[in-house]
Amino acid sequence: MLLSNPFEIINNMLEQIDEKVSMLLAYNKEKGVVKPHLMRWKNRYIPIKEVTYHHLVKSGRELTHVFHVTDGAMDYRLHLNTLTLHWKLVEVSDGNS
Amino acid sequence: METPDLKKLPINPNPPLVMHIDLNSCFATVEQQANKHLRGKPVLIAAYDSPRGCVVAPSIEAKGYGVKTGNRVVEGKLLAPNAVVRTPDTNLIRDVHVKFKKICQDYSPNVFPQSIDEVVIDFEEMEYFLRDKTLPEIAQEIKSRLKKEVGEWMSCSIGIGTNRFLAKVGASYKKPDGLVVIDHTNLMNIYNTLELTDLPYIKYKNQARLKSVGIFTVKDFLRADVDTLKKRAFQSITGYYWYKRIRGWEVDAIEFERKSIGQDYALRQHTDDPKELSQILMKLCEKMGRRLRKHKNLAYGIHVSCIYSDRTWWHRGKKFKTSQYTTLELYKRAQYLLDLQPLQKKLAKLSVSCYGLEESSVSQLDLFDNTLFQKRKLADALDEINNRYGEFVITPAIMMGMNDTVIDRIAFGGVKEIEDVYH
Repeated sequence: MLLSNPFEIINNMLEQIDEKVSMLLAYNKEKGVVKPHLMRWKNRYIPIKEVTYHHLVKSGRELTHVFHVTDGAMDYRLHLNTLTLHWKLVEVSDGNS
Repeated sequence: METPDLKKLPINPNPPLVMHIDLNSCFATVEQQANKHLRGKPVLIAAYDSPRGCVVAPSIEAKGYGVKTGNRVVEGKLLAPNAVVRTPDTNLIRDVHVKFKKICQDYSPNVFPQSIDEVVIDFEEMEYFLRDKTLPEIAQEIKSRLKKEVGEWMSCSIGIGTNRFLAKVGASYKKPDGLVVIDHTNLMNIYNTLELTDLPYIKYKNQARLKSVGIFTVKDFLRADVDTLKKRAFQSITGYYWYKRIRGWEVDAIEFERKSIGQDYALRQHTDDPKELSQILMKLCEKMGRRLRKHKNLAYGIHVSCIYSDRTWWHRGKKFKTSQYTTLELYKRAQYLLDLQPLQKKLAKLSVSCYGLEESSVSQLDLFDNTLFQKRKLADALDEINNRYGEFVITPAIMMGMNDTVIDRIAFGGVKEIEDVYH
């Protein structure tokens, strides 16, 4: 398919949010894992179906847990700051361009 | 050591004990692992998501549309109109590399990362670690552990051979998710299906060298005698190495020491503005200096190179009598070299590196500058502050207002920079 102006189509459905969110966690002592379970963002409750990746990022003495999660409809990137224990929604994406 | 009769050197008959593991379309697959809605879609990981941004990794799906590494984003979009463009998440990729390397280290202490997405495991004299398993069994185990411990979307191609070269040929032979063992029993069959440029390290220049002496196929390459390769094709010791390498004998098991530390930056907006270039150079020197001091080294040589908008390039390096340790010392030398440019043209890429490394503990103090010791102690103290509160908390004033210019990148090839981050 030839595009008349391919420059127009470079619009990712990727939103940078960077807002604090409320979070309900689940901790499983047998498996030793903590998982975000339910997020409240803009007065909407978003159930988290799956953690697709979890890793740590260190910046100075600040350690952040990065959770890539999905509710089945969208992908979310969440940051848990271990110094303040605050949760932030950093990014939302529907995976489409 | 007994020197083999090179003219009759056979194909290595030993059991294959070298494993090469290659994460398939690493940058893109990692992004698909983290973002479930990208899975199964063509994804382009690009240095910048602007139309002229360079695609550093197309996903397996995007490769199916013909997108290749090095394409522009706009070219990739023409080939795969539905492709999703993302920039690399460097922290995520480094984390995958570390987890992947840890899995490999459970099988042998001889694990050698070749790049962010490639690892070589040498099982030579490591029979104890095999625990009565065959190498293909271990390869399958690594594949399933990669899915379980890193992510279900991750996959890798594994090659097993008698040397690193054949192992790499095996890993590239079947993608994605392949497992190929190459030894003296099937080497000829494999070579018969390959073009010269399918071999690792044989690209256009080496192919031309080989063609100039009548070597047009991999079979011809294998049949060529050592004198043809050494004296005529490569005209150096390289020909001898190729003669051994292609027969499955190890010549590449050398781990090089760090000889230089460098940083580079591809400019989003090409510029010849001296002020802007000085700011970028200072930030590159700050990053380079942080790594230099972390390794407790100082440097005598500085090298600056520029790639211009018109695709021409210029570079200049110089070894100085006095050593460089602080960011300011590095910057002053680098700026001096940058000012030697014969033409003021718009820059597309600026690189700076330092070489002539020595341990900082054995440095010679300057007889005429008694503040040198204090300046270097101050640099260490500033590094400590940045270690504690995050990168660029304290920076040279020239860097004010730069924000995210010179963003974090992952280098192609070597993985020394990962050691800088994680050790």
